[in-house]
Amino acid sequence: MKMFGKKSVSTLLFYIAKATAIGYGIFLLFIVFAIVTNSFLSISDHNFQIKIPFTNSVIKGAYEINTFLSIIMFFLFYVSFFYVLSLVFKTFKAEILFSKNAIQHLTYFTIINLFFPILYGSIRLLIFQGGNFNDFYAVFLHIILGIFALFIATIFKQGVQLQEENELTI
Amino acid sequence: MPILVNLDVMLVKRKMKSKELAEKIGITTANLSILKSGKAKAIRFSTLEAICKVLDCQPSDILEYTEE
Repeated sequence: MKMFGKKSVSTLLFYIAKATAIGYGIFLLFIVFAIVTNSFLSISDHNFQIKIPFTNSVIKGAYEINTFLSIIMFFLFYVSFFYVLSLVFKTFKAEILFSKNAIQHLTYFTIINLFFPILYGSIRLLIFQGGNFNDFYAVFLHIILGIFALFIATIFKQGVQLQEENELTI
Repeated sequence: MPILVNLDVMLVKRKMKSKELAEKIGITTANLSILKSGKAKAIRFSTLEAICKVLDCQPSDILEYTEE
């Protein structure tokens, strides 16, 4: 099984990540639309419910700004997460693996995984005085992923350097 | 780099053109140009051997060390 280049696992993962990012994006737009226009939204006893079209599922929670902000932040994070992940896989499916593009996208992936979860965790903990174990477990996992991506970005930097040297060996 | 490539001098001495040398040693003129301009990071022993054979010279005739 080919991991890199055309018709490889990277190509498949690129399309999956991109489709997931688009899916999250559409869902985010739907939620914003439902909140702004009051459609698909029902409120009772300080709780809200957003009906998801074509399914029997609902999104529900306390009718507070904190809940709406948390939901929007969650979807914004995962739209950017899967979009940048698709960019990373896009560079993996290229003919030349070690490229400056790959380093750039891995750096974005590092920033997203380190910066946003810390920001989200801090907001939940300090401002909203809330959060449960699952929230902080996800934050912790993303930070680990960010650190790992940082190492891969550094390895890619060395890879680019070695490739340049190899190309200039006559 | 403190290593200088004096290939131009040897080519003039042997009255040979770059294109001819490139063809004889089996590398592209673009790569020979990289080598002549000093932009190359390294030279393979096989390339050096081929150059020495074609130009009938020693590696020291082509490569020179200078203090930076």
